[in-house]
Amino acid sequence: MQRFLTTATGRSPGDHVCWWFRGLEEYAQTAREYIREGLDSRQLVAFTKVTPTGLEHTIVSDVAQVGRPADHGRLVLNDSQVPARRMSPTSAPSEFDRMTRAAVADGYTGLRVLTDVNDLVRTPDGLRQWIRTEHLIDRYAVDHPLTILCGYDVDDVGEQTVAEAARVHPLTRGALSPFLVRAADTRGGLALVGEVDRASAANLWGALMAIGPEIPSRVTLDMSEVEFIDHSSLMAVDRAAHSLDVTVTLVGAKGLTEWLVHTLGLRHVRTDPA
Amino acid sequence: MTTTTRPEERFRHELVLHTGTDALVDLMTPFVQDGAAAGDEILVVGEPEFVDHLLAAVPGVDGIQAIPERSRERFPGRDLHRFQQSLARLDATASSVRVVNQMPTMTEHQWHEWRRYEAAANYVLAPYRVWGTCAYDTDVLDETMLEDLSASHAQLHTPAGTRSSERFADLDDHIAGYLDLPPHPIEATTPHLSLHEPSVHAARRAVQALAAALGLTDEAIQAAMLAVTETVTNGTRHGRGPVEVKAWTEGGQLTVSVTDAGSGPHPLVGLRPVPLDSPSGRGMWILHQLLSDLNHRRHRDGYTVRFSVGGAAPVIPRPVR
Repeated sequence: MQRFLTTATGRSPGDHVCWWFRGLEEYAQTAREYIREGLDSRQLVAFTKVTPTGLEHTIVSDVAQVGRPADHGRLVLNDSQVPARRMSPTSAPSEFDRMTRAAVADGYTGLRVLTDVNDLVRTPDGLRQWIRTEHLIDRYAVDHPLTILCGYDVDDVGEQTVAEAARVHPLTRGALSPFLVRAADTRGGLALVGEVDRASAANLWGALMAIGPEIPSRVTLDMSEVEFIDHSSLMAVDRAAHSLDVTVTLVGAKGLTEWLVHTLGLRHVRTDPA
Repeated sequence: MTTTTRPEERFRHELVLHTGTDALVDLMTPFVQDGAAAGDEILVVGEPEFVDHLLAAVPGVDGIQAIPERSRERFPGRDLHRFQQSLARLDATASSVRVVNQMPTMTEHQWHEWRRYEAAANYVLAPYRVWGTCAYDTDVLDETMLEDLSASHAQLHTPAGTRSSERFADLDDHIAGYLDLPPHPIEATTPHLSLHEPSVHAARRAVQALAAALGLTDEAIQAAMLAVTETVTNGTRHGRGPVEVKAWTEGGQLTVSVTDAGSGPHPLVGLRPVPLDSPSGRGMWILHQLLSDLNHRRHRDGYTVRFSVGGAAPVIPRPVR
């Protein structure tokens, strides 16, 4: 599966995309294409703005609602009179669940969301909070008709922040990170995608620690989409597992990866006995 | 001078010189019988024919741990680690173990790694209560090899008797020059791939493509990718630039060399295990567990590590459990 994207369209239910952009004009153009595709697919389309103090949605029923950038660089929808719900950013997964169920009950094929989280992730605390939320959204989208495009203004929040967020998405615009950690199932199982070596091992550790509170004590890590992983990266997984007091079982790993796990004598990473 | 601190020395490392399988069996029979009488565990490693022959010569000795293995299946890094694991299983820090090790036949190029193995054994196996014998056929040893073996073994055992090796005291000095070797002949030929200062990612991709084009198995391709990743990473982190990567395809094998301008690692690089909590040093040890053909060479332009993958044998060994 192609996980590094060049276009925001071609999306289907379950897709969760990290989409970086430079300047609101560019994001507005992407938004129009993404929204048009959702409306054509009879999805309920919502623009969600997440700030440190709240989460608010605007239902979008017409591409013409997407206006030019204004208000100090924020993406503004022309029709902003739709009542918004204000709640904590960490409530996003349950809020998207409520909206998805309501959309399906109303005859839509699902919910398609476009987000602006730049105000929240500008601070380290906000970023940490949101990355954990991103993972829960990802887990929810595994088996629900939710399609979500998370917009990150790289000029605003910086490449490092965008890369940290990208690592917990299953789909990203371009290769923002050489690896991705995505939700593999609704029970907390994870999947690793791409390649990890010594240069990125610390980032893998960071990604696992960031979503750590959501990782179950016995977690599987699907390795079937891993193109390359070295011993330092496996040790990074082992260190994270130790810190989080969890046991990681690798499934679908290549023979060399399994051999590395056994040869290194890792204590918190195992291979699937099957 | 190369100095390596050895822990408390409990390991008796003995060189056995013989003139063929029958002579070796004759030499080792009393060694096994005496060990069994003393209550020692016995471990026998060597060609299947030799192992069978020796076991038949000591019918009254039970419980011998026998590991029959062809020469082509043995290589230094994995061999040394396997010994360590066997000794750990036999609880050789508490009880005594006698080892009969018929050394494999080896080429001149393989010898350079096996002599490092013999030196490294003194450090790796030092914590164990082991009387280890390394048996070489004198027909295949030249003067230089005998000199190396005399330096890496504390005792010499021949049909004439056992005596101490005077050169053993100079082991640290002796191994200092172990990486000062001539280039492998393939290095004088035109490589199929030549990369100047590549990123680790670029080197990995290039080697992957070359290995795939050569038709290597997926296992061999993965091994080559891991090896070039580790060696280029080491060159960048521990060596001195520029890092140069070259690769050759010959006889169904992929050979890769990674050179940097630094002074190179410790002469026993990659043969001594590194604790899990150590921040570095494990990559080369991993490669020596994986690859049968992995060599180090220090020269006037720097340091080159060279490895080969391919051929008929499976690359990835059984998991060590």
